[in-house]
Amino acid sequence: MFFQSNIGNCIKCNACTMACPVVSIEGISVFSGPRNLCVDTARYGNAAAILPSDVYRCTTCWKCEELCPQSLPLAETILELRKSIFDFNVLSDGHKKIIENIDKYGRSIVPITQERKKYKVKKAPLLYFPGCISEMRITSIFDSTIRLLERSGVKFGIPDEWVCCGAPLEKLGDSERLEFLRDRNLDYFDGFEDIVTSCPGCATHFLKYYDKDPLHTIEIVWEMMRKRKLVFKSRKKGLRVALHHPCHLNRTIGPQIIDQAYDILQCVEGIEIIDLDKPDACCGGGGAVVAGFPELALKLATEKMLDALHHDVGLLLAPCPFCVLNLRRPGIGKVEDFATFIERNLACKKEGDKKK
Amino acid sequence: MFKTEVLVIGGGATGAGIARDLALRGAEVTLIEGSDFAFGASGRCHGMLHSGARYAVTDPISASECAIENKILKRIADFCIEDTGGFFIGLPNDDECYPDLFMSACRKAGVDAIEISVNEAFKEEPLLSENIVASIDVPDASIDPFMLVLGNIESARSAGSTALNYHLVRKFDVRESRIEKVYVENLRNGSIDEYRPEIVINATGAWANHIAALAGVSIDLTMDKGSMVVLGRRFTHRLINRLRKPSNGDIVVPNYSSSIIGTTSITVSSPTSTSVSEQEVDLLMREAAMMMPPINASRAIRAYAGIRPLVSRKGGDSREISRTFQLIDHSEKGIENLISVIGGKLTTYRLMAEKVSDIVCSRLGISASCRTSLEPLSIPYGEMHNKMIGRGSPTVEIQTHENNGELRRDEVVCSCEKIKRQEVEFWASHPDVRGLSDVMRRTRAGMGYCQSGLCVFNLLTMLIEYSDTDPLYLLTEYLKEREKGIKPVLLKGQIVEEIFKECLLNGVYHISDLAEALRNEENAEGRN
Repeated sequence: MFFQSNIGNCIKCNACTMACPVVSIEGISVFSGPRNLCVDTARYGNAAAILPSDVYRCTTCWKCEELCPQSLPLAETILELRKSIFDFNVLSDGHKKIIENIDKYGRSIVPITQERKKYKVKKAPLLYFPGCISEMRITSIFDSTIRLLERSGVKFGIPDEWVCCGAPLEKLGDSERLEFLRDRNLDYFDGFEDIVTSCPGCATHFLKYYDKDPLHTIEIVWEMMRKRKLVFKSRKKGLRVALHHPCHLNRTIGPQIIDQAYDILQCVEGIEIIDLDKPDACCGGGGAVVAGFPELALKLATEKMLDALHHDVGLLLAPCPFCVLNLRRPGIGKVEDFATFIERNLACKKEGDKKK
Repeated sequence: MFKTEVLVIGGGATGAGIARDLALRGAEVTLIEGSDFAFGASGRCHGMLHSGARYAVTDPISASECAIENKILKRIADFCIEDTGGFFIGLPNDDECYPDLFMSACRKAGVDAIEISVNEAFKEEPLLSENIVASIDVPDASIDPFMLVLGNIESARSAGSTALNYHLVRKFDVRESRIEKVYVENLRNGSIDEYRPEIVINATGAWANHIAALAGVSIDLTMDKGSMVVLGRRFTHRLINRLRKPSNGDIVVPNYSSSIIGTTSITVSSPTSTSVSEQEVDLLMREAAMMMPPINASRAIRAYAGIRPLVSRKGGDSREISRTFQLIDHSEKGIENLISVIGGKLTTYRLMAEKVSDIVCSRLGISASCRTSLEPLSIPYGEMHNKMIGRGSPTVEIQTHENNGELRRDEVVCSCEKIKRQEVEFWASHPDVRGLSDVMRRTRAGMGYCQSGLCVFNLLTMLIEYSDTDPLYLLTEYLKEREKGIKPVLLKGQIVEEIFKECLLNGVYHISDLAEALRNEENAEGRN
């Protein structure tokens, strides 16, 4: 019996279905939309009856929940639905690969061996949790964040034995492994006061399942800006920069972080900040859709990049490794992680800073 | 002038069952119904196929009738039955002796009741109250009464008889203590038809007295209102009954995507007193929530009531009147060819029909025996059947989605109940269908939690292709009828939906303004 207690008050205004990015791409006959999935399936009490291809198409962008006038937990219910059908062995090959990787390497992706300086400390005020993508795929995010953290002067560490936070497993509905990963990570989190992460996905997951209040790199950078520790290179005006609002940053851990990102961008010299038509539209990188329905993810990313192209944006910034990865797939324009961009535009360190 | 051997008045389960039974035995039958089929108590019941357990202690005759009919109906009408099974659950303050009494009564009545452990009950139905102290498994099931009646009508028709809805009996011509002629008004065009029947059967439920009065006789009838509340979702796979003497709010029936709580028992004076009060809704929900706490916080989308026609007994509570049925042969009181049938339950409709048909056949000299328990009912949506297996039932969604690509692509016209365009199209073009309510009864389109707020326009566009009636009239009449059932549950979570619908229907589409303009126009024409 599938039962979500607080999903029953839908008034059928259709706001969720109209706004759903996946519905707009795939059409209602392929992806039936948040209301159909969450409200109507829940009424029958038999989650096994839903189509896996339906429920796994959701990118968990949280747009529906944001708009719902009745505040129904729509996105949350999609995750619950996935959980309830997980045992029916309905995952696609791409999804199974994620679980395989986690079982094998403790990461959601196949790691590449790399010589890196270790930041192993048992105790520090700050723990940097890079997340699978920053560590192994877009390594520039990892490197830049390390440099930013060093510059900020906060003592930090990265536990050597960390494993994937579990967010991809949550998106697949695998609740058993998820608990296992959490318990393993929590063992190493003990000596640290705060957690900072490059990935909004990890941050959301820490908030929901680890009972922690994680920071995103932007918050650290913003703090640095406030303390006037950021000095930017002087450069000729001309670079047109736009900011993509990653869903899990914008809608789950806090829209204030997006404001902070804009505050920081204001200080960067020589750039022009461009507003996209839909800065908060989902890029398709979330909800394990890239693994399950790569074409759908590509279509969503293409829409986003065309929006940027339309505004003649030279560089699209995305403060989320998953977004960066997915937005680069269409190959239309330049996409960079927010922290990397900031770090690269900082002026070289002054002598005075080092002594501090 | 039409000649017919038997004229059956009343198109509920009883009337339709009699028409089918007689038609299968080779009699010439005409069935007339003043409104739509299953309009009265048949369509306003719980949708519960009794196993007999509920009546085992208090009404053993009804119980054993139900126990037998339960098995027969599951065999002959499986297309409209979801064989859910049922639990009787006991709560801490209930009578401690009752479970033992219940079990032995069930054994006597032939009901397959099995006591199961409380833990097992929880495993099967996790939303049950944590306090339950006893649980008994019985073969109750959920039944779609509209489809059951229509299935009987369809069977009767295919066996050669005539069944007409919206044909109202206006007058009997009684001569020499026989009903000579019956005048029937065709409500579709106002014409009056005359019938010359050999035998008239009065199977009009709560209206039985009304029909008997036309022939100058009367029936001692108690009209007992049973109110029900529809909740917008399913809580259990099974039917849940309270393990105690039948009382208010002790049944929760899962019905497609909703749950129906029943029922109250209040004696009323007219067959049309079917309004439900807020107090009744409160009472039903409070009682049901004792068995399943999540009901407290969940949304009721509608309340409705049916009138049980019960055989009168002097004094006492109407709960104590037997739910079995009675045949009244009016020849003793002066009308030779009129038989009335009252009482009974939806579950036992076939048995009632058999008994009535036996009498009719002996009078007509037909020796054929009853075959209704052997032959399956015709499926009312005939050739559509393969395309709509299970209609909205969740287990079938998978099949229709995965195997039937065509249906998957077909547009859903009622999104609450997931009713496809093909199905509504089929019924909208059916000669029986007159208004939007008729479409709704046959498809479930519009019964969901928005209570036709959004699908009504879809339904209307399809219906007016086959109807000459003014669309605005059809729409306003239908919405008015829907409103009646919504009012008593407004404060149980439906009010926001209604405000939204109000904005949509009158703020955006100006339906009420248009309706008023139409009325004024008609008045003006009338003056001219």
